[in-house]
Amino acid sequence: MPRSLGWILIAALILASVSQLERTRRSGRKLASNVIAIVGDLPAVVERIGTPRAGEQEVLPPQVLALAWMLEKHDIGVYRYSDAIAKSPLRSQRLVEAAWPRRPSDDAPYRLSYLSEHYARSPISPECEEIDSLFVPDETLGVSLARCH
Amino acid sequence: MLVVTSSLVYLLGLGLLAALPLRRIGLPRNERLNWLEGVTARRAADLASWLLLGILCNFALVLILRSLQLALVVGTVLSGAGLAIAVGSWIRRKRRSRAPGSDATEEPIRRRAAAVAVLFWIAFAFSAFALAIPILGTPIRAWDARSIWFLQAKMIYYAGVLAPEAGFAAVPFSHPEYPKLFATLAAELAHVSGYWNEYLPKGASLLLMLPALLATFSFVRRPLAFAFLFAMSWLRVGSTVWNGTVDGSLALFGALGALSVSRWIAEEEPRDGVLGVLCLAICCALKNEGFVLAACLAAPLLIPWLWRRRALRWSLGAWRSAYLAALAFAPFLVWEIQKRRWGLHADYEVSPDSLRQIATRIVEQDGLAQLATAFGKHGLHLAAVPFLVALGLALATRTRIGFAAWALAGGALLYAAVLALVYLGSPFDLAWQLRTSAGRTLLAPILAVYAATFCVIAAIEESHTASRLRAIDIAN
Repeated sequence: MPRSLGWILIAALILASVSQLERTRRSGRKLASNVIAIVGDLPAVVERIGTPRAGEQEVLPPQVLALAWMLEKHDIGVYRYSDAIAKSPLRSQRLVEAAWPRRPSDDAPYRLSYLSEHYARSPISPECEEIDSLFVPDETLGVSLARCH
Repeated sequence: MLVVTSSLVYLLGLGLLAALPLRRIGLPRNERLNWLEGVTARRAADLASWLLLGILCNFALVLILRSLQLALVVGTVLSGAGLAIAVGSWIRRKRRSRAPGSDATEEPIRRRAAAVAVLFWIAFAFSAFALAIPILGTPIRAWDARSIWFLQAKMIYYAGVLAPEAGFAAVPFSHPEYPKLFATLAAELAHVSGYWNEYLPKGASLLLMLPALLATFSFVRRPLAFAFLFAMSWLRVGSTVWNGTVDGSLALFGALGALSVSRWIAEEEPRDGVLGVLCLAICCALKNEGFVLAACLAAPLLIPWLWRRRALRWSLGAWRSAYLAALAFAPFLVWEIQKRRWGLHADYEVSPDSLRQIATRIVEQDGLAQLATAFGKHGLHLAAVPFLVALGLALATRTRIGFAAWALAGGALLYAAVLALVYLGSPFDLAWQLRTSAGRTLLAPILAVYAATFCVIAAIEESHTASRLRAIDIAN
């Protein structure tokens, strides 16, 4: 076996690994940028880790924050949401995650919807009474909470 | 940060206590171990095993006692006992080893071993830091992490119990039937801290990934093969190990478990068997497909080995093996029973309809073409390139490759075939399923191919080292 086998092996494997380069490079770059950004802001990161509910503003869409806030404000334990909200998993799933331990249920008397749904079917459906609404900054769709009989 | 660190100590204590009956498993039979293996890698394997045992025992405690509070109190007592026993036996061992006068000729060897150990642990600490920073420093953003793993964790945290009252069944999109090992760890972190936020529960990923990192470092004996395994596997799984999803963890534990089992078969070092079994047990308790992955990777290794030996001979001893298997797979089995009792079902289960669906997709639709496109897009075939290059080199240098490399490559193919059948049999839109999940599910077979490549490179390295030693012998 040639003495230079180690070098041949290294060279061949590097060449072979080039086939994987795009993914590993992308992943390595992402890791490096994350580490550099976080280490540069370490005290704030440590503070965020120790703060209840930290990070919600960063990861949740504004409408979801508004919907969850209304549920909390009125201390509603069980709720349902309109078909328009259900059609967008980004909003409906994020709402269920953000609002938990408040649970979604089809039989719940409290119903969340977009304000635009009411404009489209004005006046608001007779069996429901709006108890709160909120215009969401930078969003065309405000949100509403109604109690239905 | 303190919560995550103390959780590590808690899990270590639990693992040490659970590992007590597994101790005194004898010195390694292979005495031709070099410094990296002798001094440090075995310690890394032991540490990984203790932490994994701790994680599995912690999950078993919550499954049995249901209440997070009660499980943590009982676990803390047990963990304290484990740590006390370990520290006591360490002090006794130190006193005993100090008693006889040390041989002066051994001093340079000891110093060299200590230097290697320091370098090893510095490299490990650096890697662990690079892993911890994005895990704890970024909020829970990934879709599956939010909708599945951390939503389940939030349910357990707010209910304070791992029981139907937590409300799993109320949210079908959270896959309520998925095993709860990861969610339980995250819920416990929030429970101990007393609050929920989008950062701290992600510490569960760190608690799970540190043993995987230790297990990877236990393969450092062949430096070139280790460099390949480390760089390719950890960079390939990429963000899936720090964004709160478990697919990367599953792929890593599958590959590391199979590699440990293959090393156990080759060298009959019991601690490798323990580590392998625990890694595969973690796979089973992480995700539904974990059991299939563990079976696909372990069967091609174990069945030919058992066939060759014609008898079950456990290097651990029959009772210890039974104890290990019971401890490792109990959480998986208990969860399988509990989820049926609680009526938690998957949105897709294999049935005669699945077979019809597979046939329809193959014959009438372009199912196979869609599969091939998606598998190719995510680089399954490209993972074979380093494997084939390494094989070519082995052939050129007339290196004998152990059967583990073939078994691992076969296991990867088998699992990829199972994945293909699952996709074809799924009642959901195939294109949507492939688009949203193939990149993550294919990590497991890709890493298994890397593990097979590792075996080939390690064999070439070993044969190269042996031939150099022979040359030195002849020269002398």
